[in-house]
Amino acid sequence: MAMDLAIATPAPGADAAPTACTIAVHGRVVDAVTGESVPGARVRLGELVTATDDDGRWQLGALCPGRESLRVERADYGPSTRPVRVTANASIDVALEPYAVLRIDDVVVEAPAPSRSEMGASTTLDGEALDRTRGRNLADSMARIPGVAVLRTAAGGMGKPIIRGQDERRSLLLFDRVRHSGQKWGVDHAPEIDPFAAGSIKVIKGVSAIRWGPDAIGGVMLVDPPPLRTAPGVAGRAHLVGVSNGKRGAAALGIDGAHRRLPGLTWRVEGNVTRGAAIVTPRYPLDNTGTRQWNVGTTLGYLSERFDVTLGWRRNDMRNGLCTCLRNDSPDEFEQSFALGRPVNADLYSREYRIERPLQRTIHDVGIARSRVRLGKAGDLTATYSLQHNDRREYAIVREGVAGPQYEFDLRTHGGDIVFERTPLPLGPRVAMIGTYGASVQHQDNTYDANLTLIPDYTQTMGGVFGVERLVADRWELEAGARYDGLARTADLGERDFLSQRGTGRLHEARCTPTARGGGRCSYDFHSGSASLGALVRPLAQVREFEVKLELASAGRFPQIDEQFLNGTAPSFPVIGLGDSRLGVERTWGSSLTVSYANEWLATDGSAYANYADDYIYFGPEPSDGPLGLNETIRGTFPVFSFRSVGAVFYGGEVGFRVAPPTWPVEIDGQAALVRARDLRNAAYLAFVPADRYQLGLTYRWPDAWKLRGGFVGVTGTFVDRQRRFDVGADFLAPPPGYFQLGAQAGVSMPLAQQTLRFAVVGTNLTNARFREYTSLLRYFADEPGWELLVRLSLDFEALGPKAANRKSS
Amino acid sequence: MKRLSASTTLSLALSFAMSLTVGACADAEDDHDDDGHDDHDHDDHGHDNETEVLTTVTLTLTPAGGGAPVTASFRDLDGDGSMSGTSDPLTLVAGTDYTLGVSFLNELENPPEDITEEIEKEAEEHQVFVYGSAVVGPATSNDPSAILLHAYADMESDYGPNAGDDLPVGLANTIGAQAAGTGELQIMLRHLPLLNGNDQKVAGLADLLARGEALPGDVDVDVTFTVTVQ
Repeated sequence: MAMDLAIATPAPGADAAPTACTIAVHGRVVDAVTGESVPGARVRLGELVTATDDDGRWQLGALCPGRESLRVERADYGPSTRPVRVTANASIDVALEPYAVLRIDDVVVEAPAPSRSEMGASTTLDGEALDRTRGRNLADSMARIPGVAVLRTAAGGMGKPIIRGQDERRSLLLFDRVRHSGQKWGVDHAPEIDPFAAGSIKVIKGVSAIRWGPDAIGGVMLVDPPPLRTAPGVAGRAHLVGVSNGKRGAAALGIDGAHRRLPGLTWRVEGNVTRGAAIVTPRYPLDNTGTRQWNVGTTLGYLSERFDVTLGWRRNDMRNGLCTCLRNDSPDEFEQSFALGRPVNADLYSREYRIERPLQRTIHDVGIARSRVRLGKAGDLTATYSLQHNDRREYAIVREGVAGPQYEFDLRTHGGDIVFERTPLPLGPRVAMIGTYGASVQHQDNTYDANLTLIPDYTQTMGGVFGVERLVADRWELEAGARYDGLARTADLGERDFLSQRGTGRLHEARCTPTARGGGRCSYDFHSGSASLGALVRPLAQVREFEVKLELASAGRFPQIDEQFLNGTAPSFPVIGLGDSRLGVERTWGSSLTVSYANEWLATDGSAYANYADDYIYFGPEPSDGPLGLNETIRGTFPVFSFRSVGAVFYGGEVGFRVAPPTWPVEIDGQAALVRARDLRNAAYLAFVPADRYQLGLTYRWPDAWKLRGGFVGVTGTFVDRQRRFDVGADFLAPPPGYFQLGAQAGVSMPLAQQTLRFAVVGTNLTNARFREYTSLLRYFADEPGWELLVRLSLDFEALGPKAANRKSS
Repeated sequence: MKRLSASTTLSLALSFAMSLTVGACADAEDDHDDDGHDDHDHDDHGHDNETEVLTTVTLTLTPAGGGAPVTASFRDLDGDGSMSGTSDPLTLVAGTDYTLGVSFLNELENPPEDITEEIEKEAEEHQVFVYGSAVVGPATSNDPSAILLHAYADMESDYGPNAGDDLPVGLANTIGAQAAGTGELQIMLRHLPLLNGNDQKVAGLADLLARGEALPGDVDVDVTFTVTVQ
């Protein structure tokens, strides 16, 4: 799915080059997925421009010898730019990756080859679009996709992605197709994934549990590393990023190689380091929000026609300071602090790099072993084993003499997956059946260590099997899938936790046995089936890019550990949080309708959805006059919030467009996303649902001049409305007002022999607007960051490899 | 010659990235390790992590003219768990002056850990506030009908050498039971650590509390006792 970065040069033997401007170059542009010709694409070689004919062919004559850049573009494809050395008459073929739908700002929305298309809405960031997010954290990179928002934590500027109103509790994050396993239930626990390691980020919106497992209700985020190198040689990429706000800097280097004498042997080594000081709002710094992160990773692979084997390991090490402004005090304190309009003692806040308590420190290791075997005519079998270790330590402000962390979480996850992709079965002249079957198993062992109760230690084993069959014809496709999942969980409650939970009657005691140390060991098992039906129709035979997709799905989700057993204070929220071990499987019934259309100058798509969850597990306040309503703690009287099941409905939609007439240097793009969520049982709005968001952008692509290629400059305006749909009782403060943000970006690339140097500047919140974001945990305490300028220098280099390219013909 | 230029470029690219990496690392040295625990040893899943757990607040009121002290405690023995804490009722005699001693315990430890000593050691970073509907004093608005009159009876210098302003701590106080009646007596302990080298414990915090304005620092304790003056 990554962009084809192959370098095409004319035929070898070009040393005897003519010197006059008489060279003629021709070629053909094809769709990289279907191999079909792409008519009407604009082809620009140096200063000369032409368009492809109905067969996708083009030619240009009277070229002078020298180095030029060849750029091929059409609105519904990813543009292809490559350096070309013009020395003799030659033929250059270009394969364009289809986006089939749209590019919004930097975002590529993709509907890939028919056999791989999702039945719901999906968006992929890759190639140039992904490069433009380098230097941002993972959640912010994805937030450019319509329907994705960020749940901002108070730690080091990090965040968690929210898809269609669902945070990581109901969205699944996979790195290299392995479910990322951290303490994802915590709202202030950002995912421990290296954004520089991504070769593509694909967001599948909507219920996608069949293929990816029970948590995929809001959607799935697939963070995939770029494909390993196959052509002999060494190549790499380096990024340098500097950000004005927080004086952040990042340096990243990745090198890929393929052995010359042992064909098929391939490797990758990569690493990066990020360091940032406290982030600054328009009026004061967010004291102690510095960040320090480093990542290393390596992969070794053997790729051949019959089988592939890869072995990889990565480590993510993060240390993030939590804003001093964050308080976990009683509701009275909370309201006094908010009434002040700024944090107490904000004039003492520092913008230094130093990270002090409170802080979070995480180390995440992941090892992945994978093999793909081609089983003759039957199909492909892929088997994966993964081991993850997530080590999280949280340090609170303490009196002198107290050393070490106050909270420690240690999670080990073993995962095994087998996926069988059956060779398409022809059923008629233009009809085929495509099938995918799989099984997965995951074992987790989690320990929690602190003096205060929060979650118990637990071990759990989860397994699932699924099958999907798709009937593919020229104008329509039908898909049906089914899945079964089971989960067995044993939680080990310490004495204090056990007595406390038993005392409030929230423990399903029949499932617990006493332990020698006075605690209880509670075992649960859950079973769930999921099913989906999807249809894709291309109503017009002549316009394949016009697609209508309908999907219906039902999926079960198991209660998470905190939903069953939480017993403690929630971070950054003045409540006592309680789980309920009697909660059962949450079932969601989902539907979505997606329409997309593209032609040479316009690309657009829109999706509408409605999901109903019968036993939606929701964290809400206990009635204050009830038995659990208020809790006298030593730090004051806290309201009690508990997990309970409600009937919830989520509906909404996203729409995006891009207008880019081939002959204009200007393009216009826009997007809008809406989510509505209701608790039907109590006729109330659900909390923390992102507010309506609208964005409009204008980009000017300037002509290539001197060695500067693909230059652009653009402005983006984003308006986020106030969340007007909220339940006063479920939150402590009314949602903040809406806000407008002005952004601007410019970039250019410069081909240098085998290298490409790219330079970009991105400005955010350029009016230095003061605002608070409804989905940010900071909003109770402090403003969001002020203006910033990001400067990025990237270098793609090719070295020690064959000079000539791997895609040429004559 | 082509090969040479390719490898030259690779080494340039490497040094380009590495030089900045080194720059970033050198920069990292100004980050001091406040936890002294950075080796991140994976085998220490023990019970060595200390928390600022306070479970118990005890008030000891000793009549100034002699007599048996009156004590009352607030206890929340499951920490921040789902069970609510409870406080003992407090009964005082009208017209009597008392000395009020406040002590803090962590009864999750065996034997219980006396946190009061730690607060004495860090007197410059802690302050106890006495407020509530029953109280008139530095931390409350001047309500003439209040049944208890509070005054601080200690200073930071009572607990050790003191730098800067010598401010009250509130581990020792005087309480005058002025009139018969019932009301609430609240005890708040705030931790006011240095913020970027600046004092957060400054004069006038009690006054801020009296006016209902936000205070700096963190609340370590905020408990309520029902007090009856007979």
